[in-house]
Amino acid sequence: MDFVLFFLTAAIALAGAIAMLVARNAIHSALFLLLNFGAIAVLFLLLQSPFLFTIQLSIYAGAIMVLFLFVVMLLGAEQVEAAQDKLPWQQPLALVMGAGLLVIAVITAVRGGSNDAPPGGEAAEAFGDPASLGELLFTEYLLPFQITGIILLVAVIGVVVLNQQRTQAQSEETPGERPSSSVQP
Amino acid sequence: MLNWLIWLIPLLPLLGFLLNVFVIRQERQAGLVASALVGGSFLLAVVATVMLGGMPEEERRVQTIAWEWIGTGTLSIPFGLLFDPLTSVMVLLVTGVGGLIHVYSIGYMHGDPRVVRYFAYLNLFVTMMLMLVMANNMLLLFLGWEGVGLCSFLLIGFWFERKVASAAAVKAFVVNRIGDAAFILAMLAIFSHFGTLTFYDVEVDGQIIPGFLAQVPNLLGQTFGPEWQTIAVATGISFLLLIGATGKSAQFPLFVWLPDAMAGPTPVSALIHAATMVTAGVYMMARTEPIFVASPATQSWVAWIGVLTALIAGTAALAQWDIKRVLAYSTVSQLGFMVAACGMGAYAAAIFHLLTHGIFKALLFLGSGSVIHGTHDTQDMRKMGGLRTAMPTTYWTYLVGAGALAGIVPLSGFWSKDEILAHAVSAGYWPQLIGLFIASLLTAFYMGRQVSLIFFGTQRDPHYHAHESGQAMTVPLVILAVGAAIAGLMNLPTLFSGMPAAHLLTDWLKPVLHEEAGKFNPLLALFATLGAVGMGYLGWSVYTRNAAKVKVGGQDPAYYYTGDIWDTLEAAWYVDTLYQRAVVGPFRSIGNFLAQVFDPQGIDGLVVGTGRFFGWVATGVRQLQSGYVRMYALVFTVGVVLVLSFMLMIAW
Amino acid sequence: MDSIQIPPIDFRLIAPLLVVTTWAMVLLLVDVFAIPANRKKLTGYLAIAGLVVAGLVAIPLWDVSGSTFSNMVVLDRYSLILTWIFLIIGALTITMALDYLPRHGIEQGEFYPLIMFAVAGMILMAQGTDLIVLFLGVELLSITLYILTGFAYPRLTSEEAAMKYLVLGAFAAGFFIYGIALTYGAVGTTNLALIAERLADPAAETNQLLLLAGASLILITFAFKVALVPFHMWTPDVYEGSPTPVAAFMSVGTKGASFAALLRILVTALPALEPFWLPVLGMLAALTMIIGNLGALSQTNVKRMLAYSSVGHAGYILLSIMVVSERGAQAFLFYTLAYTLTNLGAFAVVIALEQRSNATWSLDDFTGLYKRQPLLALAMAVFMFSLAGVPPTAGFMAKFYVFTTAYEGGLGWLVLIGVLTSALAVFFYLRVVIRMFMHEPQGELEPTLDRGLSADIAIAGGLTLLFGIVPAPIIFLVERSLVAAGG
Repeated sequence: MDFVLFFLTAAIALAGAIAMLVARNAIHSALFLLLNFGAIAVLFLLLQSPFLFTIQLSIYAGAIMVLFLFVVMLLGAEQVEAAQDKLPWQQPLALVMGAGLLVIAVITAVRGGSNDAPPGGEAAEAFGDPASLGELLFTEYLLPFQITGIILLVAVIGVVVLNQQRTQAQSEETPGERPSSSVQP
Repeated sequence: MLNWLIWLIPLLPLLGFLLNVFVIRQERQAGLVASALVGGSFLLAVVATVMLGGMPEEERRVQTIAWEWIGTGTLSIPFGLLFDPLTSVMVLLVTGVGGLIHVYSIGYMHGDPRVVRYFAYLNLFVTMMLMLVMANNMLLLFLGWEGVGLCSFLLIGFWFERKVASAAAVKAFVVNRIGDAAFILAMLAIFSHFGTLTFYDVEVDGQIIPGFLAQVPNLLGQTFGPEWQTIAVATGISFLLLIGATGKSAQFPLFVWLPDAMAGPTPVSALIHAATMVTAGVYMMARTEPIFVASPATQSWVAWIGVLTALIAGTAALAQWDIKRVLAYSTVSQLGFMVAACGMGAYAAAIFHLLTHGIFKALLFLGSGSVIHGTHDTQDMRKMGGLRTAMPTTYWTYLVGAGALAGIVPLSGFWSKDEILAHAVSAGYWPQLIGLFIASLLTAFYMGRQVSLIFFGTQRDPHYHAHESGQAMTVPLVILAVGAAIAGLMNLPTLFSGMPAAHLLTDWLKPVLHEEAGKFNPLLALFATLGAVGMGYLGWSVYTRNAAKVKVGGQDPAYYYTGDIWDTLEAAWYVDTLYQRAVVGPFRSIGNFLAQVFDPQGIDGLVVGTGRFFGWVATGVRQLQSGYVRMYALVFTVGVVLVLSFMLMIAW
Repeated sequence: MDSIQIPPIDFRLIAPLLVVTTWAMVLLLVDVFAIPANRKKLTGYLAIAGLVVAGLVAIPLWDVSGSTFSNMVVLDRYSLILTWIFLIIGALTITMALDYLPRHGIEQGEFYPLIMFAVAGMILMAQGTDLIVLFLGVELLSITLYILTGFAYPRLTSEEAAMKYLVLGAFAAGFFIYGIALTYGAVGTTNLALIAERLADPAAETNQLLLLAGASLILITFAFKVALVPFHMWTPDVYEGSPTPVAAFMSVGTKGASFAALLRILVTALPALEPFWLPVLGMLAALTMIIGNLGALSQTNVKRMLAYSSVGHAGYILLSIMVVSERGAQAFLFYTLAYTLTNLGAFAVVIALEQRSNATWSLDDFTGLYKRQPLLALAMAVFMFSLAGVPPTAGFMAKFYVFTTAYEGGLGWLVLIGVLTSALAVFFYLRVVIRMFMHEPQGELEPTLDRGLSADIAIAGGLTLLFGIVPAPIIFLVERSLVAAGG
């Protein structure tokens, strides 16, 4: 039963990801991404990790996705313009490389016996529940937990900095304040 | 006392350099300070040499360490100087001739707007050259080696308003880099086989750092390379050193930069590109002589490269019109003599010739500078003629220099050249002997030609009024002329049994080179003298008789006999052209190709003239560095696929 | 319910890191609330003070070593020396930027704390002994750099560069995460020392194929970060687009930190896999040295030229990394220090010549510089010769050190390529020198030399020469940082 469910959700997740890439309408893309997030959430559940399941749904599928849709609609950038592709030969090559990567991944997965548990042994019974996750975060993974916080802080600063109105910056584009050098292109 | 005295020798010119860069702004002061400090160096060198001579013969080697330059677990390189007989003669040459050239420069460079900078460079050069010859390890030698290259680069391009000057400067530096790369590889090889880079055992902080020259016998039988073709380690190292020497000492096939280097001021040509820097390769080979001796294979390469260079450059000198290019090719040719001498195992003879050549070639260059000065920057010999009356001092001193170069008895060049030829005879290098003998005949001929073209006949270009140069220039000429005449005394062969003061130099160098003096060969000396006099006269008479026919755009009188070969000679056997076609052209194409393919946003105007093939390929793939992120991601992915499949392939 | 027992933590071991991060966070607040908009330089001075304090705090740690936070970070002399180098990089970068930012109308107080966060990320990469921590260090550094790259908005090239760097960086991060996952799947741990232990233990059932795939992916990520060919394509564009002090910071900081982490991974975790990664890295090094130097040959834009030159130098540094020995680590440290000083100096000169508008960073800007600013031209010549590896500069000593080490380590053919390519490289560095010394000045371009830039150039130039002439003390210091076994 688990097995069937796994393949089903995995297939949905993949299909969602691919459809997101191919869709020409930004709204459609976002919705396909939502599909992918949902499927991934189910995969977490299959791995006996209810907490991650909830987080995945509420944060990714919920908050982040809503933000995406909001921005897309606010900017009115639903439609990707079908511009002339200047690198026509790039796409087939990219497909070939992607296929190559896929083959390698499959080979490693199959030959590498990725069905076996890692040498550390099976996961503990209570592995996925919030309490044990929390405990891990405060004991073994305390440092990474803190650093993640700093990374988020930096990201927030970035958003603020890059969106500040820059009053004096506009004058930068107007040339002629100083005699420009005698450089030629 | 010697221990700290020798530090002052390179420090004085360094002080001059610093003063000229940071303090001095006036032309007069610059010249005086620069000359005085180099002169001071010379005096110190004389004192040091005398003190060295006062020591017992086996102990004539002073090493002092300033600090440990590099000290890691396995590698210890001191920043230390060495003063032994070989170094002492080199130092005397560098500071002595260098000092005279500094004085001469005061007159020659008078009025040049950048003269302070000129003297700064010149002083830096002397410092670096002294570092080179006084280094007690390979790395410090390399520091000097690169340093003199740098100064040479700066001085060749000194008159950068002339387009040729900066092109020549770049050419010199780039060609030399080929030799330098080989030199670095040789250093790495020496280090990995001996674990040290110092020449001789030296004590640092109570620890003995071993020298590698004494360990060379250990290399015997050691080989490297694939099994089907093993190469002796000694051969590998010495061959790399040889490549390094061909770059710096302008040997075939890397000699092409030296004739172009004449774009620099003439005193620079005299000091750097004739008397001192270009001899660095020969000095280095003499210093690392045990490694060369350990490899007969390399030795024969050395000898043949020397002979070949002597011949090619000697023939090329026959067909030049530029007064300085004749001397440049002649320098290349004489360096070939020295290298050939090294290859035949006559290191002392090579050093002897190095010293005499340093003196008489400096004299010739300064003489040519005086001619150029007196004829208002005329360099084309077709526009000269009949200058002996207008410039008597220059004429007489030039005649002495030319005679010495041609090998006329008893001028210095005769003795040093004869020593090399005599060694070839006694050691049985017959084919090399014939090559060198022909080269020496050529020398006499083109010097006869040059003297005739410059000083005899009548002035062919009336546009200038020739005049003798001032005292700052003529006094050094006279001093050098005296030197060129009598320098042979330092190493006369034993002409008769019981002759006093014979082969002084060879004996002086014995602690370093362990060489016995060669035997005098009267028959050879006779032939050489007859040849030199005969060919010199021939060259003189052909061009004096046909003086009227020489004109710009016209053919050389010798063209009648040689035909089109003359063009080949004028182009120095097309070696330079070959490089242009076979190396520079494709190199530019590749550069241009890469620029177009990978980075069309930054193509340099320098890289023009793409080959058709590259152009064709470029249109197909030029968008690789197009600024498209997905393109970069694709290349990234290609890399990922390659790396992964490679790793997994090994694991299979 | 049991309360969670937080394991004992030795804060001494991460003291510099702690100082830098805390200082940066406090500085953010100070900047907003206490420093008026026209005095933002003050923030910069405070940031430098923070870096100096962190450097001082690190001094008593010389004789301390150990690991903490469940063996996720370690303090040893290797990481300590790197920490100092990174602090120097941060301080010099800020010094360069103090007047650059207002001159170009992009001054914002947040710039300085961001540099501090980037330095923190770099320190983390030097100290981390767990793949997770290394990943987070890389991300902290990268995210900061994405922001800093786009700092010159609304200049289009800056925004474009930030975007490119972000997209490709995210791409690489994906590979990194997948690599860590595969590695964990293979050996059941992300701790570097434990990975080696499991690999060495015949009883443990490690999965070699998975591990190889994971290790390759991790290597690839670092190859991207240090710009090894063919993962280098972003470098010229990003360097050109970002504000010049940021480009300077990236060229030495990202490289140093990433190589530091890579060295630790190779030495501590993966020595057993040497037969696999050695040929791969060898190929990458060869390609990098060749393509990087060839690419620089035809550039007329100095920033792009320096970008390609940094690609080439990554190849040389990689040589020292590949010799997994004490000597290799020493050579790496020395090279990093020499390259850091030289390259920062060169970028500082570029900044001095950068025009407020119409910046093209053209080689022509250097024309006749000796006549206008002799000292600036001399300094630039020193930097160019150091980058080219001409004695008596630190660059030469570093190259010599790396080449001897690599030669001893059996990488003869790579040394050959290295020597030949650095002989080639002299050509494009020399072009700058020729412009400066062998041309008459044209146009009226006047270099702007503020106090910060002058200080930077003086320090960098002086040390570049000093380490070329008297490198022994630094080598001695570096030697004391024994790292062979990662401990």
